[in-house]
Amino acid sequence: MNSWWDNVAKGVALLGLSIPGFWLGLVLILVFSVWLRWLPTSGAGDWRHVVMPALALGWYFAASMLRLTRSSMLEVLGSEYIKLARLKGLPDVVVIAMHAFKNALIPVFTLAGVNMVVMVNAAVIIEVIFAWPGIGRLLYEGIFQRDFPLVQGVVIMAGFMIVGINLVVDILYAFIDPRIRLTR
Amino acid sequence: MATIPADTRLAPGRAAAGRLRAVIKAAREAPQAAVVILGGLMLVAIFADLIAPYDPTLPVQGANVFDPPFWMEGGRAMTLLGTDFQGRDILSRLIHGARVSLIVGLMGTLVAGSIGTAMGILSGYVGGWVDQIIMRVTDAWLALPAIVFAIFLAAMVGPSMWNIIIILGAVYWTRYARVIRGEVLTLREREFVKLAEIAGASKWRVIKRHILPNVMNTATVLASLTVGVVIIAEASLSFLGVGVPPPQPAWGLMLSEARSTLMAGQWWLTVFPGLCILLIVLATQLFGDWLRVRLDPQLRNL
Repeated sequence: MNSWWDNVAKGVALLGLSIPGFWLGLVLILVFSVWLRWLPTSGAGDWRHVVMPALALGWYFAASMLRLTRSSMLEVLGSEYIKLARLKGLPDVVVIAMHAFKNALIPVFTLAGVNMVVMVNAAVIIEVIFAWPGIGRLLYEGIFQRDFPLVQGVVIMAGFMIVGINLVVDILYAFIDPRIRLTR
Repeated sequence: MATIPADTRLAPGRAAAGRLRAVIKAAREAPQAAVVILGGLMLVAIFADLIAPYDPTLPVQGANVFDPPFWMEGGRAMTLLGTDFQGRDILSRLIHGARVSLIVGLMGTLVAGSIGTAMGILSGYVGGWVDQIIMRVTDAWLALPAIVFAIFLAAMVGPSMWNIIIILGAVYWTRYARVIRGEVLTLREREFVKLAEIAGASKWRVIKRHILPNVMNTATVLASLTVGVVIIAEASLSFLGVGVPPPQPAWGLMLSEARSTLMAGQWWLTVFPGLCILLIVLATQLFGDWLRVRLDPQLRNL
């Protein structure tokens, strides 16, 4: 905390939350497709088609998870069992990697679930930019062609995905944190 | 009410002066960068007509299409940041675009905050079946992906700036409703509310005098964090062609227009509007973070 590394991480997180994903996508195309000619601009195919959409989509979420992991680690490192582990004479690496990190992951894991839901949103724009043939673009085209049965279908499907993801996250909780037992 | 000794009551003028001093003091403590950026952009937005060198909707006389910024070869001092595919001045369009972004960001947040706060108070204070209905509606709202929902509504009602404000307000109110309902549930059990009820205050009066002032801090913090989200959402909608209609200058729309010529390498069309969005959202984030720590210690870890 308050080291230069921490400040860098905080800066990256703040910047990540402020950069619109679709703009990052455009800039990536500009740099890697137009100038460097390393990656294809759009469409689906081999791994090279995945790199830029994944970066553009994941950027924001990486920043939000960085932020949460940081505050969660700080909280866990201040707890009693970490002090005990240190008193036992365990090396720092073991304390941080085995004891602290695993427990700090619990809220991060929830956020990952929430993020997967929010990604359904952000994916629409990213898919449009990179001409990725996914349900986001299907929905976008449906809206503009006034194909409302299609739009309804996709929206309901997105709703089901959201409910499903939440359910899976809830169940996986019990595996990560033994203190949580889902009772009725 | 009338038991307050006269000498401890502040004269109206002194109260106003005290409040002004408090605002100035708060502005000094706020992160400088955020205040400077936000204040500067607000001035730019208000005086856009005076500052902008050209009409943002018309091609510049004597300029070509796709003129680069002035420091590049072929760039001219008359169009500092270059021109777009119709020969319009990018700088003028950015300046006028600030107005659109700020109006949509602030008004959209205001609409979302008003609906959400009203619903949250109603749900939390009245309770019963009203609470049930409002909470089930917010649940359903949250299950819908927000941007998708907004695109859908925007495509239905047609593009215009005020439509976008209402749509974004209608999409983002649920967050407020949830948080504020929770707050009201605890407030409702507090003594000063109970005493007001016993004293015979009507429900409306209790809400107005005792509940609302106590949830305003939370609502303000939420609002400061919503502005950036709404600005990005507006840019996204404009980018997809369902937001602010052309030829009105909006940053998202500029990005959308730049996309068709992206492959030709005219980077200034893409980079500048994006940097503007980045700047304004960064500033609201910084400001919101500061406000959150200042107003509501409980929300610190949110």
